Amino acid sequence: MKSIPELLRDADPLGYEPPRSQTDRIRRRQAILETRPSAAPIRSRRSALVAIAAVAVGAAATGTRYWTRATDLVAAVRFEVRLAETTPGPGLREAEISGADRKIYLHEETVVSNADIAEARIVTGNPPDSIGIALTFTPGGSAKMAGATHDHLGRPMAILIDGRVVMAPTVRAVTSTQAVITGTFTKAEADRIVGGIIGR
Amino acid sequence: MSGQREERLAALFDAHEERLYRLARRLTGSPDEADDLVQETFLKAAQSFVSVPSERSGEEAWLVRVLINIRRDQWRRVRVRTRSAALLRAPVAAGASDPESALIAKRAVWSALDRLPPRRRAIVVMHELDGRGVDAIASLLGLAAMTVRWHLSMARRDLRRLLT
Repeated sequence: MKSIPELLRDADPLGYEPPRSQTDRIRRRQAILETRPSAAPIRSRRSALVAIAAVAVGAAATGTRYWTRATDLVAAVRFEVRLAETTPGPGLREAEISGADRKIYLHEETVVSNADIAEARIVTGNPPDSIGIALTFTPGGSAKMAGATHDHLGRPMAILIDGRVVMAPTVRAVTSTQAVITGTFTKAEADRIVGGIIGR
Repeated sequence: MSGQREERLAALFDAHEERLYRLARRLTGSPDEADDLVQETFLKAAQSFVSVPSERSGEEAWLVRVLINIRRDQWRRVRVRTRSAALLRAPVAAGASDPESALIAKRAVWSALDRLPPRRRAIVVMHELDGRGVDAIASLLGLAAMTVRWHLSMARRDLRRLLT
């Protein structure tokens, strides 16, 4: 009869899993080094809520909205990034890009979603008279984005809001910590997205 | 100042990331979950930089406690959603002689470990798998040695009940 320590040692995944990827480790390290410091350390959930309230009041006064991911919020807006292709293929799902007269073909897996976003805020879009939404990913999300875009250069990546493809830019460079979504958003839509995108 | 901060963060990561991953992997269900847990821990260190102690043993203790706290919050959320999920049980104590039985046994052990609160689970894995002594674990977690021994005793009792 095996003892508890023996059972634990037999089941220990570190005893049989392959070594970790050093490339991934380097990306994660870089994502940490690129993290901006907070104005003050957040020591408790109560402090985090006070900090968020203060930032929201200050941001509203300057005409932008800025939420940090320091507490649990239910995501009211479903956000996903998926790899895509310009031609159909096995396992790909056809989707239309909102506001554009073209189709793309989505991979099944989600690269990042709401849980991988650390911050969301409204910015000037491209062209300058449009509205954009700047997203900063968590370190885990940054690593996933870096890994996905590294192997997908020159091909499209789809940004989905509530299941609808809002943009599908071509991946020109490895993307990790930040992304800007531009689309035919009204201010009200952008406010709804920024207010509802953070959560788990 | 920002160059110093980056240097210190890099040193923190290089010194502690591997060991934190080993702990995180034994507290979670997959390498991806463990990676995310470690990243969240270092994110907190990056954002609360002035809170991290300056000496090596203090750094490790701070990081380990933050990691366990993050895992505890995750565990509580999952626990509320899956309260009625059945525990995977298998007669593991007698030992598994073929690959399929061995896999089932591993899953049963992991399923049983998932039932332990993260701090207790961390104490068990640090003691039984990392070979850390009670006093070292107590110092790392900011607990009395007696409390660590109690957690070990409760964990063994719970695992025995779940696995045999």
